[in-house]
Amino acid sequence: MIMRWIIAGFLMSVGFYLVAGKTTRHLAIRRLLFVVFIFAGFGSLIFKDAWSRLAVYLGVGNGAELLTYLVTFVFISYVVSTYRWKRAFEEKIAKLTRELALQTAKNSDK
Amino acid sequence: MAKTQDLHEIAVIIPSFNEGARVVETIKQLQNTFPNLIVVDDGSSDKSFESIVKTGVIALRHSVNLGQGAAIQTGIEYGLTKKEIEYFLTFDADGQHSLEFALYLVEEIRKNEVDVVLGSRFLNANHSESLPQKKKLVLKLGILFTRFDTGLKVTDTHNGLRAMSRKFCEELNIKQNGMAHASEILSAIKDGSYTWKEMPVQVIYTDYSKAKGQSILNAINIITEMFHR
Repeated sequence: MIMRWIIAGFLMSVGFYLVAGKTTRHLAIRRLLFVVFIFAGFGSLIFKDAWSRLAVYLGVGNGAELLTYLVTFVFISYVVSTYRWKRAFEEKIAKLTRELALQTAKNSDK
Repeated sequence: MAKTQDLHEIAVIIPSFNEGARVVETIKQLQNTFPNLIVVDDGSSDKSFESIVKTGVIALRHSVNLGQGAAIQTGIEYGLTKKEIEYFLTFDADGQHSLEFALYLVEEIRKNEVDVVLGSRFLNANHSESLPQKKKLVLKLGILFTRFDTGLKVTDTHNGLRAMSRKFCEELNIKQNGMAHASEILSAIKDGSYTWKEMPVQVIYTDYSKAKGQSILNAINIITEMFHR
């Protein structure tokens, strides 16, 4: 049971670090982990009981439970990351639109 | 009442989106009193921008619709380029606000006792009589959230009639393009420890303006955006 909390805390820390980070380094790590996740997905097709053995080793319960935790973590990270990217993009659009509006002001006496 | 020549230091920002002829009526209401009217068309798809330009006021246009918050920020940035501007007044384009209460707020901000003067529909019971019940509920939720978020004991968090000092506007950088900008302005007051006060104002509700305004669902959007700022 305690191992679940340790894993949850570890994932949350990693998640916060990656999602909050704005540098290219954070982006690279996120992309790398995504690739690892893809390979792990393929690997689980070949080594069918790998997740179960890993789950038992980590004290989580079973492979399906471990996979559920990981997929939930990846999904939430992706949603938060996408939302942050969207906000940053909206700010850029707003700045550009504003700059154009200011430069093309009508009846301006500047 | 202050004479027209005394009001050169006031920039009135009117954000407008698809307001048709209403925005022209609003401009006509104000332009003989306020020499520095700045109308920001927020990417309207009707022909209102052409009508706005014909009135002779300063007219800016967003090429895409961003939201009222973005339009106000654009108006402020334009106003800040003019050295004579000492105060900014935001005023809705849809006819909900009146010249009388605009001058009331202007008179107050010019006393230089506070940085921001906010209009409130709830300081005078008569001013909120015609307010639809559903809208009252949404606004009350906004008040609760603002008190939780900023600690400011504001009675009307989403009133478009407000007067701000140049000093405040120089530091203000509205990033919430939509209606959450009102909450963002209050947060800016709190974060910068600016002084503020509220004044009772009346908002005129027509069938058109009642149909607009924030629904309870959009209030949820506003709160979500404020959490993520």
